[in-house]
Amino acid sequence: MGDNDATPMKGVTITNDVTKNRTQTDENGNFTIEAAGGQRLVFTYVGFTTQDAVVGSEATISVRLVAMPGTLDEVVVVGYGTQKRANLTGAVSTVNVDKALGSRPITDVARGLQGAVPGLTITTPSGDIGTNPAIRLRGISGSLNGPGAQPLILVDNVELPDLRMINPDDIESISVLKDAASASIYGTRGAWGVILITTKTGKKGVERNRISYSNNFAWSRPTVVPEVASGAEGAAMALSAMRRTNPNTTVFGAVGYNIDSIAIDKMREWQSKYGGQNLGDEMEMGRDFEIRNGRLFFYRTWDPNKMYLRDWTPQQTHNITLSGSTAKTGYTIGLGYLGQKGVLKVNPDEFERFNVSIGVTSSVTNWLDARTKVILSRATRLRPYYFSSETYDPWYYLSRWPSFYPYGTYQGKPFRSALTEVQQATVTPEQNTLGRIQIGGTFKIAKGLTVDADYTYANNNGHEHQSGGSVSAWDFWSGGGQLTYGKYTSPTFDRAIYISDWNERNTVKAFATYNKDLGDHDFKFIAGTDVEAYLYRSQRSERRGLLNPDMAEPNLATGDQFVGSSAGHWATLGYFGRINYAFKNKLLLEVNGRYDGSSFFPTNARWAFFPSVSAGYTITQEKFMDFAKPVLTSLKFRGSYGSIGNQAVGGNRFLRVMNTSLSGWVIGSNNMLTVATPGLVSPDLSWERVTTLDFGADARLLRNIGVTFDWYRRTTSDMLTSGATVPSSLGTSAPVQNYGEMQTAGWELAIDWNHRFHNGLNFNLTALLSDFQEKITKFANTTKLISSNYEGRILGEIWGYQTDRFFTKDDFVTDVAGNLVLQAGKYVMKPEVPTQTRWELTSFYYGPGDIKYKDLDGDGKIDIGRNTVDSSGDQQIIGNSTPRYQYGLRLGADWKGFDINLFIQGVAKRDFWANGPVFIPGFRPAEAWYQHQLDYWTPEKPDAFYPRPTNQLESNATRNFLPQTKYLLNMAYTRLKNINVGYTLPAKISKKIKLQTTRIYFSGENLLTIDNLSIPIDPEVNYTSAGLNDTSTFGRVYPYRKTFSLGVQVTL
Amino acid sequence: MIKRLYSILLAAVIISGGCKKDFLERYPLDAFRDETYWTNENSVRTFSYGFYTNYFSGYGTGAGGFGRYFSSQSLNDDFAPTLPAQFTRNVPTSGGGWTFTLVRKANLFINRVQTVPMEEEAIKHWTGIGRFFKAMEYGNLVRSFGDVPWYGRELTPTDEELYRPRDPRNLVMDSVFADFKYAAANVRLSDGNDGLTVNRYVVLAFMSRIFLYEGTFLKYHNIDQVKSKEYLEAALWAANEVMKSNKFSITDEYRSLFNSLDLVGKKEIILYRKYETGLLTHGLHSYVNKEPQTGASKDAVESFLAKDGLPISISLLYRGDTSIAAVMADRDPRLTETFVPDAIRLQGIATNYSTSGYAVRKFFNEALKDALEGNGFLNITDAPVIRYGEVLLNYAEAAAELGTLTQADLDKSINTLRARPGINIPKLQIIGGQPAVGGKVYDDPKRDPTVPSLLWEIRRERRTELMFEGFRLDDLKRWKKLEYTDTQAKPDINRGVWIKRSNYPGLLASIKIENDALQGYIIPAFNAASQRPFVDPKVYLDPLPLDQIKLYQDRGVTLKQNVGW
Repeated sequence: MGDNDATPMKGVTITNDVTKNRTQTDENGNFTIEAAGGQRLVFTYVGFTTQDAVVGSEATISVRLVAMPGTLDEVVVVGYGTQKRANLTGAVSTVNVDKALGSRPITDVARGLQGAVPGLTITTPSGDIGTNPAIRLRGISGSLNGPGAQPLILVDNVELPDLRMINPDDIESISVLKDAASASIYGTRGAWGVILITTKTGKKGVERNRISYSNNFAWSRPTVVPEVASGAEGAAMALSAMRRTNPNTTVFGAVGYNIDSIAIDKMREWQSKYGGQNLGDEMEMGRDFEIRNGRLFFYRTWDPNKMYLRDWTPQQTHNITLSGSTAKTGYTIGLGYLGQKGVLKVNPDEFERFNVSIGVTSSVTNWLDARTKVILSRATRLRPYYFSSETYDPWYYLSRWPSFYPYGTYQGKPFRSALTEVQQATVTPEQNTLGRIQIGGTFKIAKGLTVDADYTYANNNGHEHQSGGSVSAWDFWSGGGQLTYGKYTSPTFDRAIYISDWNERNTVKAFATYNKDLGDHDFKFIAGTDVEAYLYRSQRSERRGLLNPDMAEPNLATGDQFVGSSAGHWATLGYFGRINYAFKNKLLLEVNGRYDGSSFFPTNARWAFFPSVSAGYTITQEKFMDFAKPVLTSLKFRGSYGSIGNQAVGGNRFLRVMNTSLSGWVIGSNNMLTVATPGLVSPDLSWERVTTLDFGADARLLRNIGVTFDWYRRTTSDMLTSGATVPSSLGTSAPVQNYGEMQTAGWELAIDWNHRFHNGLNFNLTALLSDFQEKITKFANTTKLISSNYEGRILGEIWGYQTDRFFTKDDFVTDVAGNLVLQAGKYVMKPEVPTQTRWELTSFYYGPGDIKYKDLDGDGKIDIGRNTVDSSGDQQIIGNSTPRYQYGLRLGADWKGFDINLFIQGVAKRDFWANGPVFIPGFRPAEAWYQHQLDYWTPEKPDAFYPRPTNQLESNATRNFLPQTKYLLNMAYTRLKNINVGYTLPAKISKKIKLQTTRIYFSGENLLTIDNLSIPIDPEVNYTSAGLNDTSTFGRVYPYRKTFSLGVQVTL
Repeated sequence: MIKRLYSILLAAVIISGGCKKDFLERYPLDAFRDETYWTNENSVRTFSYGFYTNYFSGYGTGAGGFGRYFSSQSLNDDFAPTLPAQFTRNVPTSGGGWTFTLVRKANLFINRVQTVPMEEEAIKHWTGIGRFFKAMEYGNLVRSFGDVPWYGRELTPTDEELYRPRDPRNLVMDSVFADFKYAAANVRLSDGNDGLTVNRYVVLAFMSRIFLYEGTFLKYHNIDQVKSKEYLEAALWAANEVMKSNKFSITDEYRSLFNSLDLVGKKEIILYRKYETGLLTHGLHSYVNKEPQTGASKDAVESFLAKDGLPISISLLYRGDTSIAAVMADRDPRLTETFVPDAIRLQGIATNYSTSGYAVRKFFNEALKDALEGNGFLNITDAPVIRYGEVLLNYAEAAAELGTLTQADLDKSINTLRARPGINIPKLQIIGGQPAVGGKVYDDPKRDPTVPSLLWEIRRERRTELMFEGFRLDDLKRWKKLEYTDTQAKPDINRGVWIKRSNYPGLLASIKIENDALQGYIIPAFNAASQRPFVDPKVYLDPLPLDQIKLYQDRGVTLKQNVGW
């Protein structure tokens, strides 16, 4: 009898299914029981999957039990220790690491955790490789300050903010501490919960050495990319939009290309003559483009996606783990490699990561266990140099222009385009190296009393080396109808740049644990301290005028030079204590206290005390519940209440800081430096207090169904906000005070079920569902502008109008002949129709085919009132961008070596009012219109989806696209995140090839998506962080991908 | 047991040894603090650069407009766009220019300067600089809103002063006057880098601009004639101080003020903004180089005199406007310096067309035509911020408004401009209070009958000399002449070149000739819906944002909205 690791198990119950005889295993895992051939033996052990075996003629039966996660005897890693699940009183979720991260073509841990923990929200705004997903726990914002409800991520008890730097294969366990009572022991930085990750480390005790190897080869392709409308169709829409405001528009264009009705005809002609033919890249004057009246017109259609994007982008991972142990010492060595190619066809981007981790534990003396752990991780990202910017990256440009934009060559030379820029770009490497060393030990002072002390030093280095250059092409942008070939990029790009940042983190954690078991009363005490100090610096140096573009070094250049730097530091110090008390494993109590100091606050308010308490009552331990036993094996009620201080309120909030910047005033050859006006600060600023009330219940039904439910309300009080709305006459924003309050209320449900059928088919299911809403409960804003925060605001709410319908001819005055009457060039609305004059600016007037909004307040006009909550005119809340009802469903089965796992993840409700041309037809009329926007209103097509084409003036809040119900994006989705099919070779065959175990598998990500989107975007995309500078980038981001992969896992 | 205790003690000592007493005291490493910043004159100077681009925008930067030049005042009678800019229609819910950020910045600066250890002279100089910028800011606020609350110190969030009602504009301008007077007395004559740093002449030049505005505004809007006089006298005095110094002269070639790569050493430039490749670039040169542009109106072109110094309506030299050659022949050379003299640029014929056919070349540098620096947003021509020519015009106009204008005044102002090398048009004379040229009194028949003849000529001089430098809308506001901008009442401001369509076979069908005739004037904005009527005088002042009014109201205080809004 043994567990996964073949450690003998004591106390396993063996029942003869027929005779009902019972016995238990001894210390060595052996057992004896009487059974006749054909009878079934059932092996049960709490916390392990029940197994059975049919007795044949053999005298010995060996069985290996598999631990069942989530069960009561599961040992859960909690703050500064472990706890049996049965005795947990806080809201703690654990992750089945094997299932969430194993055999998946994922690049980092965070992506694997999406949908795996109730309450955890993981989002990635684009498919960009080598980027860090956003991780939020129980809410999105948490507070109006700081980066949001970001849980503290601890790897082996020390913060590691960037999960990309750790190899998923090195991870042994993941616990998520969600309520204040469980997280508070980590104090100040754990205000939004804690993700506790432990990595594999040497386990001493059993003499054994093992090598395991696994790999994965994956190929992926974009899920969805926006498709630009055909040249003629797009141009026709554009022309019709331009004629809205200027009916006599005959020709217009952008960046040197032009559109007129002749061009539209010629595009049609080109399409019918040459569409579908392979004409090569060379463009012919007259056929593919021409210069008419000093203007450039292009007729040929291109598909930059096809020219630019790989059909399949490869990725591979390899992991080797060496582990071994003796009676006193254990070690593991993990080596990992990840190589990921990007989607670009030319000058492709790449991401690569190497990981090394070494862990050693040893009993130095009988009273001291020493341990050390070393992590080294290096990630390299290669990208073509951007001649534009992070915000306007090649993805933005790829679908920016109409499909007649010239991606071909003329006289063998390319035209100016994003593609040309990528082709001629140098490659910029970005390298990140994390080194971390941890040393520590456990001192056994007396019976039940141990002291643990660990010191960790972590150092992260980031380096980027840009070598600019120049791009040569036919530059028709500023030529004014002429084609000039040559260098068109600014000489300022001819440069070498080094950007480096480095940070250092010193952490000391020391605590004493004392266990005392007095029969029915079980006590555990912990007291300790932790100290953390962090320092970062960065510098950027640039020199222009490269002597040789292939040797981009500042000291090999002759032009202007520029430098910049930033630096910062902080420190925290805390003392904590915890008491656990259990009475007959029935009544459970935990009390925590923590006294915290942080450099984020002024001297007089630097220290604060944060207590918390949690309690549990396992009612099924009571005699009177025995009646329910056959069905209800266990039921525990939990409750917790406590607070934690939040220091993540933004740096220097109590200081009158004066940042430097360039003034834009040049003297000599210097853009003069200046310093900002210092703002106002409140001298008595202090901690934000995050208080969580959590009620939960854990139940086990029958033998194999588990249900966990939590309800919580988290209140962020003393939130830093301005204490009062002040008029503009103050001349700066009001100083923040500990004034505001925000509440997050939510619930989480997890169900697991696990069953092994008699024929050996094992089936398991895990289902997670959670929801929350965040609401501002206290805020000083007497005007209550709907565009700002106010008391009662639910975060993410979207204000807008109800869409009534399209205007029709009947809404306007017509003459006797039935023609629309124009008065001063405007359509005349019938008096009974509510006017929309507020939005009729700059020569735009509503007419048939435009959007008619609903006049909700019946005042005969569509307007904004005072734009406040109490006077919002016809605006109302039409949706919310917070993801609601997030769920995950994992189904697994295995049988005779075959295993299959499905993982479905989704969001049931989320609305979004996006920005940019993919979402708003006519955002910039002279640029691309998209295939999906062709369904637009014309007198002949009054039931189209989109209104009559209009110049939307680069806005998502004007004319026909004021925020409104009809076009509100439904971002809900259900996604087959992963499907995984594997086969483990029978032991006999494995042994023949000298392997202990061998598994081969297929794994696919994002293979199936169900959504309800009206535009071609992946439902998971959002504004990227660089894209936030210009939200019109929405939807034109690095594409999300679906992935197919194959892999092998072997143990030597 | 002893060993265990030793090791724990050792660990404890190491840990506590690492903890300094001020372990949690961490000030920013890469930013200054108010408490420790103000240590020397250099820190004061560095802070002061934060004011510059707010008032000295030059040609702007990158794609962000052209500063005060060209399009910044597209709402006027010089421009003939296809879609005329409209007057403000809606009261903004927030913002709308009602901000006191720079007032606070100036107040804070003045306050901190007093504490900096430096010479008395330096404290006075920098106090003067602070008061100058504060005066500039209040000048802008008053121009936009009329009455505004005046603040002489940095406010705190609990200050009752926050809800101070609007002070009458006279009261505010009196303080602005005091600030200017202080600055004019204490700011250094030179603070190094002449032309690029604020010195006394910069202060005086702006003083003449701001008080000319206020003096004429009070006069023509009939707010306070006594104050009007006082302010006009201030404008006159300030301009005269600059003129008296003999530091500046009108000797530079006209267009070199606007198209030079470097304005250093130009005798007319009082302050300019410098542009450098890779440091700071603009896009105005590109706009007049190869891009389509908003053209000038017939009205603007006709405002230029003929070469004999007479208005075209009466000059015998004027040859009509049926060809560009005729329009440009024998005119005030400033016309041909401002506009492309030998070609009309129309849509369909030229790619860098103009909406009216008249194309601007004032800012164009032939040498940069095909250069990288002449296109895109990479332009590096320096921009005048304030020039002596304007000061002379301020002087002449202030004197005329005060009724003290003499021939001597004209000779040292307008006639100096007319004597500029390359311009050389006859002097403007006063004979019996009437304008005259060559000893002959004349009166422009196209004159606005409500404007006296001499003043009409002074205003003309200002319009033509300063065309596209961002003055015209402000000028019309202070003269109470926004009716000039009505595209229906003033058809000439919506007319372009005169053409015969048959001479331009490539001309776009959408280019309209008046009344759809075969020949005639181009009508850039022909759409009835695109016209700009001037109906409501409320637009002389901007509306205050709704949220501020509500905030005051919640406090039981009334923040008065401007009339008509």
